[in-house]
Amino acid sequence: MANKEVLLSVKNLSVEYTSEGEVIHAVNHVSFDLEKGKTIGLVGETGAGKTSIARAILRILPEPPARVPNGEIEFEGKDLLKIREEDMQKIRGKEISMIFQDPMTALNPIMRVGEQIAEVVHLHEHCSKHEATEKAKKMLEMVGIPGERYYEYPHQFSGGMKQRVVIAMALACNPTLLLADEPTTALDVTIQAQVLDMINDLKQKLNTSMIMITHDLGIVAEVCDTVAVIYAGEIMEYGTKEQIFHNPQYPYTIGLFGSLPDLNSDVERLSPIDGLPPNPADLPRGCAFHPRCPYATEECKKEHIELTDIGGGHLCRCCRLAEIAKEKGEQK
Amino acid sequence: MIRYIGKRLLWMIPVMLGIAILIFSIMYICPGEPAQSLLGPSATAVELAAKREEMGLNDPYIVRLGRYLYDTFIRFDLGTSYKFGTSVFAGLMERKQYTLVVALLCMALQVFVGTPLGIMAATHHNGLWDRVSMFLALVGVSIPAFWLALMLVLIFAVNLGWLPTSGVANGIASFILPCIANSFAGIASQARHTRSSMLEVIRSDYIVTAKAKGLSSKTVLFKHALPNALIPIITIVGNGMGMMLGGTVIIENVFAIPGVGRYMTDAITARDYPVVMGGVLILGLIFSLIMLLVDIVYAFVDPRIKAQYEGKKKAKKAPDVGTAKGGA
Amino acid sequence: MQKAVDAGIRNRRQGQFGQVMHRLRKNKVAMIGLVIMILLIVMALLSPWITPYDYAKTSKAERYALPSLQHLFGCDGMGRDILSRIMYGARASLFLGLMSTLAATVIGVLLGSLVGYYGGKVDNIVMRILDIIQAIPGMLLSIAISAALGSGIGNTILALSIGGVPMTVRLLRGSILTVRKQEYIEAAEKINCSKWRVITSHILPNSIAPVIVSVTMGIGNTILQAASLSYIGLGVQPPTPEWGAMLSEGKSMITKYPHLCIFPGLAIMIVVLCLNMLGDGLRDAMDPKLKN
Repeated sequence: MANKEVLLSVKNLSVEYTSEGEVIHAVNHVSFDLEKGKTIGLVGETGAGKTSIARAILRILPEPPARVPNGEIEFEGKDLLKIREEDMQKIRGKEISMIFQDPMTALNPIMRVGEQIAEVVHLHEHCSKHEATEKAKKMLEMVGIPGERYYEYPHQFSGGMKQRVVIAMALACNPTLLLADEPTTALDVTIQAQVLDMINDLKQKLNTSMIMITHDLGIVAEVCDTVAVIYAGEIMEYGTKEQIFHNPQYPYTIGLFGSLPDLNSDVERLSPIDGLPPNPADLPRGCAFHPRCPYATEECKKEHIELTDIGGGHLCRCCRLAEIAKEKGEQK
Repeated sequence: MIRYIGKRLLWMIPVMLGIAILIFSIMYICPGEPAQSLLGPSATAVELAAKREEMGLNDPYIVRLGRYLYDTFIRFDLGTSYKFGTSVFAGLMERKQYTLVVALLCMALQVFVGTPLGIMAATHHNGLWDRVSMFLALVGVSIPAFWLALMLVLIFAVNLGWLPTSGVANGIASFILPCIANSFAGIASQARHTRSSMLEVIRSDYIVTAKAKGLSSKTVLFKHALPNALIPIITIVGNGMGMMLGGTVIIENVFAIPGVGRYMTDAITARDYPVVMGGVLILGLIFSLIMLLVDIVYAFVDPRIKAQYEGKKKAKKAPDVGTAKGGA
Repeated sequence: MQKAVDAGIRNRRQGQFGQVMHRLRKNKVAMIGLVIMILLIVMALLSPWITPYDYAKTSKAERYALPSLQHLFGCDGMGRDILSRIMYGARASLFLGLMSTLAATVIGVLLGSLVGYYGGKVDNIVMRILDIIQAIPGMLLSIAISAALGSGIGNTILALSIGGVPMTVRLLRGSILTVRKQEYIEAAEKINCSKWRVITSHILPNSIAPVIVSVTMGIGNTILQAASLSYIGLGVQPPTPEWGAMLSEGKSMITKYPHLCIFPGLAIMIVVLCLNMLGDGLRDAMDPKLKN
């Protein structure tokens, strides 16, 4: 862990969508840093804006309706939001690549699986078609698929195998940053573990940094170094894995852990978080979580609350931390 | 693949038989009197009765149907035209080239003009070009072809005198107005379908994947989006051909082109049923052949469909099946 | 927040149909089409009372009269007022289009739900017969049937509707086959719903959308076909005024008197255009994914 170099620095990033005249604030002023070789986990419910963050980094948001009104994405000294599209194309797939959420639809159905991997190799490594083919076969084997299946089409592959192909494609050019968008959500539990192990292995082999987008705290525990808890497009709590797992402070984070089954303690029922995520077109005033928060008071509804350091780089966006800590202490 | 084509060709036999039975039955129930049409209004009752007997018109339906099918498919005899007294088969053969020229030219216009228009509209989605061209396309599918033909004649032939009003005496110039009139709706509908198919494909996840690989937007569009978008369009092209064939019947009438369509419409007014039946049969055959071609093209471009026909046994475990065929 | 919740509740109460209508109402182009169509239908219904002249009244003095203030669209070869004939002719054209499409849809939906739900042998036989019917280009089939049966409104409706049946059956069958596999159909069957009930209240409502869109678009196309039939001397025949037949009457004099052909053709075009505008709007409203 000698290398403390910051690879990616996201500052004040927002993403909006316009739909039927309504503006939807999907991502609101998100900032975080990622060091080389490290993994950050973006945790949150479906629709919290996690995928939009990843797509904004790669500049593959569907525009329109999406728009990035403000923010900086500094990657190796360049602001990705400012460089020209042609330069961005050189970064996509080579420096930064992405593993998509749904393997069933992420592959071109009428193109041979291997060709889809060879395409990205050929594009970025400036090698001959033949070399690209050989490399693609090697990548397939690396993710545990026999090289001779290069010539098959996606419909001949199972979901788990398609996800391996997507991973092979993402890793084919040894990216420095990998964006993994719920890479295992669409898979069976047994295959989930395999795929996760594989991503971890490959990451270590290639010293790749990673942004892991997930709603599964188990995955976070397995692969992440730092964690950002996202709610309604905002980072609500940020810290190292240990800080978040051993000492969750934000009520939503506490709620997330409360809704997990725990083998060590014997509880009658899980305690889910009441209510539904807010409508992103019409976010509540003040703290976005207040309508569902068991600790909320009038103060939480008044104004926007800032992220504050509560010790050792552990950030939290809550004005009732003292009361919550007291209540937790009483429970124990 | 060959087995699939063979199967489809064999399926043509019952289809053609079916068309023949259908057409025969439609004409069988018709109220007209063929013997009268043949002999003219001056014929006496005795003459008529004799003619009816000679033509076998007094036989029951099933016997006449059997005779018709035998004549059509074994002897390739489509009967004799009541009006001209000549072989219908020969009559169709000497006229078919005009109809084919018009239909194929229209087809080409539909594909090579309509598709690029649709792609352009889709890539400029919601822009000025998209709105203008889609409004024109909407008007295009709403114009009656024969009225457009009349208007084109009025402008380009009568007033400007650039092109001939009718007939086929002027070579390719004679076909310009008929083809524009007949294919206008086809071009418009092709553009509309291409656009919506493109827009649907552009939204697919695999297009985002392609973009995330760092491909230029041109490569994404032409290598990934377009081939996928064109697959559903192939059927539209086939159906368009049906519209063109049906349309030529009307258009030949407007422009006095001596093709199968003109032959048929003249026959309708003269109650010359063998010609109508023969015409429908021959155009149905051409259309069926084209739809067969469409299905084969379909199977060739879409590996998912191709796999269905390549036998379920080897589909899973034969990685090299595809290399020999589509690889080059 | 409260606003959004209210909207959500309202949407759920309105149901699918309400949402479609809501989206359709916001579509300006579709609304223009709908309004013009309603006006045209009203005009057609009232035509015996509101036409400026009697559509059949001939006048030797006004033969081929050019458009003027007395006769906005001029007069035809028998001195009859073209505007009045077009207004009255809307009855035949609209009636043919609507009735033929309706007939094709009723037959198509009955057959389609039958084969879609039962499948197996019934499906196979019906679909093969439809294959054969579809092997003849639609226009050609209509011409053949029309030629055999002779002209007249009833015969023309029959001729036009038979060609439309296979498309409706195919669309509905495909849609039903997808819906059939859904779990809620199995659930309905497991709780002993009668087959009739399963079809009418579970399968049809969930699979009819593509048919509705295609029917709306189909009316315009049928009107075009009906006009084509009348144009080549089938379909509706004089003296009944019909737009296609009017074009057919006018075509021989088109070089000298173009107004005989221009106005009836424009009438057909405007009607079909409005129907297509409405159809497009309906399609977008039913499948909002395709918009944007």
